[in-house]
Amino acid sequence: MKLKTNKFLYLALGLSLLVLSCSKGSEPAPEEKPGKGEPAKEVTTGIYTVVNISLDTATNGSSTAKTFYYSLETNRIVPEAERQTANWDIAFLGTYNSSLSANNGSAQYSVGYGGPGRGGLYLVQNEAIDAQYYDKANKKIKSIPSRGLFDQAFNAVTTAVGDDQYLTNGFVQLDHFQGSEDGWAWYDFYGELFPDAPGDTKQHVAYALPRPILVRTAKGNYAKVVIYSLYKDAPENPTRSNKPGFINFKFAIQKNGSKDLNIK
Amino acid sequence: MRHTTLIAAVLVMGSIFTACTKKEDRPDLEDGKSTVINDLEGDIGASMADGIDGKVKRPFKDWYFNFKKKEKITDTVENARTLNWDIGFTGVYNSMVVINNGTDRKSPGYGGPGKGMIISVNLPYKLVAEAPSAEEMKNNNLSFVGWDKYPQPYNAGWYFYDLKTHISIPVKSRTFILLTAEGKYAKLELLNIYKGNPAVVSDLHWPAPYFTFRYFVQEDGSRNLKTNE
Repeated sequence: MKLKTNKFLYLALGLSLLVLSCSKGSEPAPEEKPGKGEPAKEVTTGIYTVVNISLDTATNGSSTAKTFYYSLETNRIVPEAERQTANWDIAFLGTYNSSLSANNGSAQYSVGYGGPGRGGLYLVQNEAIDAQYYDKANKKIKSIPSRGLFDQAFNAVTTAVGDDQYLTNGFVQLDHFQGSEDGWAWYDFYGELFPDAPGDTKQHVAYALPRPILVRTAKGNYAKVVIYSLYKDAPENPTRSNKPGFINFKFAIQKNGSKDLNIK
Repeated sequence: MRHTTLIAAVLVMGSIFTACTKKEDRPDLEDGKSTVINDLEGDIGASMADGIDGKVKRPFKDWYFNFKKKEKITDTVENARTLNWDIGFTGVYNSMVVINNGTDRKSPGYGGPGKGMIISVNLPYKLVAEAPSAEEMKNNNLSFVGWDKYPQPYNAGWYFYDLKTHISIPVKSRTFILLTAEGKYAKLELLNIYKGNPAVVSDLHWPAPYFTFRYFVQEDGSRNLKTNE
């Protein structure tokens, strides 16, 4: 019974947050299904919020999760058939679709290998912000980072880094899990953050971190992305019962080719 | 050690006969030269599954293994930066196997005298006859082997892990070539994380982690890794 109340509370919190964040973006993303007819329209320089984009809702955390391709340039999901084109900028794959690949045609381990993509990714770590929720010595979170921190971290990024710093031949990953390095989400395999939580309600839960990801798009434009959640309705305090495979993020894209990401 | 192996072996036989739904011939691991470790108990006190007797919600405790002494070392704090161990079993279900290297930040031996490295080859254990040059070992060093293709697509691992079933399946015909802590060439086959080295596991609660693996260390310092068929 208690569990249920909590769930509803989280859901309600999540919903109100969504409403809040939606109003911040200049254009809430329409929920498009992959492969649907209309020609892709390029977005203009600006900030966009993507809510509950359904990635792989069927597999529920399977390692065989289907890969999804997202275009920042047109703000939509791109069908698998266009993998070797410059039509997408981020691929979400692997466990809970938590691995992010750029679209880079010349990097052997990029999901876009063999295509024309020139993309790259760069994880931004803001020490002052990390200090507020992250235990650097033990590589785990101390507490769930507040949504305010995500926006702070996002706003603090005003320019893209130099071109040689982007990751092209590999993925941006979960944070320090089974050999991974610094990442964008912390995966609480054991439920350590909430040791008193009943049963397995807090085990196998992934918490997004306020670490923006710089994206060089397939076409060579620069963008910044901050992911709020990979669960449906983006609960701030997700549990095992929340549905993974829904990505919630905000991004700003600069369409004039410059590295200026001070976009309002 | 010998006793536990014996007990483990008895248990293995028992579990094979009682629990395997499908009887399957497992090839004999003994080749007269390699060391075979059966069902070495990992940290079985930790588990992600709540409500299992005797298991608590906490991270798995890392431990090390010494090839020459065929010995498990649980005092990782005391031994991390020594030559007392060759491989470590770390992470979730102790499934991430690391090497002992004093200059590798990813190794628990970082800062110590260890010279360990590990590379992966897609060949059955018995067919791995020679280690590559030191240069090649260095260039292809993986630092650790665990979940195949994770965290990066080029990370060759020793098992596939299916997060839907939570069952790990060893990668077949994959052998690891190592430098031991002392810098000797060796080959290693990691065979199973489940008790009894069963051919197929379909039960999420099958006792784990119990490691079955075999290895051969070339003590003369050469790259010859030939073992018998």
